[in-house]
Amino acid sequence: MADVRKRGAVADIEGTLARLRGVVTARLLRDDRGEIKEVHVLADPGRHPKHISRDIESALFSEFGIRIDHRKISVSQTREAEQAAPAGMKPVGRVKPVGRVEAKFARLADAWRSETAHLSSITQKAIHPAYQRIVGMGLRAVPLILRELQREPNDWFWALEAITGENPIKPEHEGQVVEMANDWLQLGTDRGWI
Amino acid sequence: MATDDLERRFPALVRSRYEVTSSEDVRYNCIAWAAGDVTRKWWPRRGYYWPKAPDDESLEEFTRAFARLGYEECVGVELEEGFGKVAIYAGPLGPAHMARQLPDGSWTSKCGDWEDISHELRAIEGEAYGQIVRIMRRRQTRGRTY
Repeated sequence: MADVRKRGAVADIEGTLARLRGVVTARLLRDDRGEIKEVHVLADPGRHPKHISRDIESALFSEFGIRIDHRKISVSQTREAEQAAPAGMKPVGRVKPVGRVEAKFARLADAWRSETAHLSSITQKAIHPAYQRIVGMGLRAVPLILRELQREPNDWFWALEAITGENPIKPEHEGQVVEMANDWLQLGTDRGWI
Repeated sequence: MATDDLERRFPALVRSRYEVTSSEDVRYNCIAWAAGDVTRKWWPRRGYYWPKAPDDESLEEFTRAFARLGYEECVGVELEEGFGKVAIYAGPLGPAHMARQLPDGSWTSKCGDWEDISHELRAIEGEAYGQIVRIMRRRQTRGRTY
């Protein structure tokens, strides 16, 4: 079975899921023990969420030896996908339609991660066009960024501060990305952003 | 990160000797690694760790920070007995990367969110990290962390 506590393993699994028919992006959320807590995918129009959910279960088991309850799989689709769903078919699991904002954020965040992962300079990362476009999305991006921080701490702090004008990072947490993320998640909870 | 990705970002590695020496870890960055700290990210910006209150993100700011750790500017990149060295790489936006010299004279870098590598000093110069603009050294002291 794949050890999902390793960062590379998560990326492998997400990459595999993203190659499934109809899936645009895939994200894993892990619990405190590092095991898969939830699987979130953004899907294209054209396939019923139930079929996508089954494909995900099969892929996780056949490729990585991971069994997961379908109720942990959340399939989000664009409005176009909702309209395309066959009449009479009800979505399974926690299916929630998402709009262009989520899809745009997912696309930009993927581009930013893949094009800046080799950089150390916070400034270089922050001026990347995809990152700046996310900042330009304003407060609509904040819940999505915080969700990213829940999934994996990364250098989203510049964007959060630029959008909200706040910096909740405690001095003793400076530079410690897990603690920095938690400080932001706490503020997000307090403000009702997540 | 696959070595393909590493070599795509730093093409000169292909023609040089290098080795991946760690697993991926997002908790520290190249500046922290150069300083010997694997617990946090260093950058002269609010929210990140910096050994002094940062004035800006200039080469002089990086130089001052490492001077506080006991480093002084020097010229040669060769191994000097009794000294440890760090190199600052910079591009149009200013400092972008740092590397630390290993006891065998090769250099070690943490490449962004990716792994640590040992490498030849100039093999990671280029679009991402810019050019080497400053070498600093400090006398080695047993038991010193950073």
